[in-house]
Amino acid sequence: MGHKENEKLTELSAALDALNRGGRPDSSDEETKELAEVALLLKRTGPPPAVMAGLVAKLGDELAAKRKRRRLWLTSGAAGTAAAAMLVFAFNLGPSAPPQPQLAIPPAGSVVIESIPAPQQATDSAAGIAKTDKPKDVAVTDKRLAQTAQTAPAPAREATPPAQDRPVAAPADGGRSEQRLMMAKVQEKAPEKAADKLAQDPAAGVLAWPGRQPDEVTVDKETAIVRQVYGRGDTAIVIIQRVAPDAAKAAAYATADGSAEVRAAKGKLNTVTVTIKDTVVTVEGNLPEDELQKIARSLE
Amino acid sequence: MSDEKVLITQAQQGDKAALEALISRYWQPVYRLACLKTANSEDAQEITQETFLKAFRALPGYRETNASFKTYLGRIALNLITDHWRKKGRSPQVVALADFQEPLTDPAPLPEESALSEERRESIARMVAMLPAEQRQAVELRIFAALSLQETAKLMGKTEAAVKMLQQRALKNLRRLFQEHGIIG
Repeated sequence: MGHKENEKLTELSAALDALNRGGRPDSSDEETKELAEVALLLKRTGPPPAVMAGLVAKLGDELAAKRKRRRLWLTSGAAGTAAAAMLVFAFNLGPSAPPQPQLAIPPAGSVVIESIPAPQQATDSAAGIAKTDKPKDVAVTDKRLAQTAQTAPAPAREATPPAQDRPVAAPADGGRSEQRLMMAKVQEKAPEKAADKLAQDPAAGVLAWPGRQPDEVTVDKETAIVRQVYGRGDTAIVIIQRVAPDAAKAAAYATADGSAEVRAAKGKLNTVTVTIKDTVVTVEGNLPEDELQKIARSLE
Repeated sequence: MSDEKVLITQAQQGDKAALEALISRYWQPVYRLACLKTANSEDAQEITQETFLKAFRALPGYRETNASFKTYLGRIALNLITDHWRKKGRSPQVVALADFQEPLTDPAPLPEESALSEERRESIARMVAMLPAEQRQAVELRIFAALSLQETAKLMGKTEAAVKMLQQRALKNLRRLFQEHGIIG
């Protein structure tokens, strides 16, 4: 083998190495260039075509079948989950048994922010919303409130003394407004009607006779009837305010009860009944009926 | 998403074009590794096929972590090579994944490569099969498996000079065949 022939072999080998590195062969010899082109063509064929075709056909079918099985499994799984969710939903919407004590446990994620002591007036009111002396536990699901409760420096329960230790002063003011505020935040109640308010808290709905101060105001927590007595003796005026549906009860109260002066003058009293803010207001007095009407209309 | 990830996602769904693209891209490195470790081009081809079958069968569960798809294939190939030696009752050679990561040809298919028709590829494969055994082996190891001259010589049990000669004769024969069949001008 001549020196030139040996050089060609080495040059071809270098060209193949260059191809194997992903480069392009660079040779000055024409024959080496041509052979390198053949090698490049061989490289482009890739894996043996028969092998490739067999592999692709086999794998393609297998993978597609696997995917179908997987999809079927996922679909049936999703259908099962949906059915379970519907069952749970149906059970929750269906007629439920009376609430069991354990049902009162607040759900996970909710925070009991405060035990709200029901104000004495509210608990004793005729609406009967709170015949119990126990404070109401309010479960909060509102995130903002829960967050506030969690980030608050000290729980409200700890910050405020127990109900029995609190000063009794102004139970109908501070306590009530505090409760209203809390309840509004927590429960987002629909706005209450005046009659509902009166039923729950009779003192809240006392009507005022402009320019006059009542000599006596009595609030019956059981019947939710408010009696305001103006003046004594001959010019005694009694304003009786009550929730509309309990007209019979209120009338019974109005006739059965009352101050001595009023009872004494009962025989010569005129009566006017009007409805103000969903409450029935009876104005009694020894004045003519049109005068009583004027008084009734002026009430705020 | 990278081109490879797209191909893998499509292959997971049984897309044949994506499968073909991935096999074409990674055939050579896997085959090269198998050639190096089995010292037999036929065994290497069988192991390469089995590697792709195993890899793609497990593809629906394949999750790319830090390992590339190439490394994933390499691990499967190395396990198969170990099994191959066990079946032969011989201790497997010490195989390292680093061998598999040796620089190879650019894995991205050349534009012309995709243009090569299936018919032409089959013709070329037939002509390679027509070569004398040693020439064919030299072509398979040096060109298809992209092994170095030294590695090829070692696997064939020949001198480097003999391999140089074999590869030149093989390419000359193929050039003539290609011209006869109008594959090249």
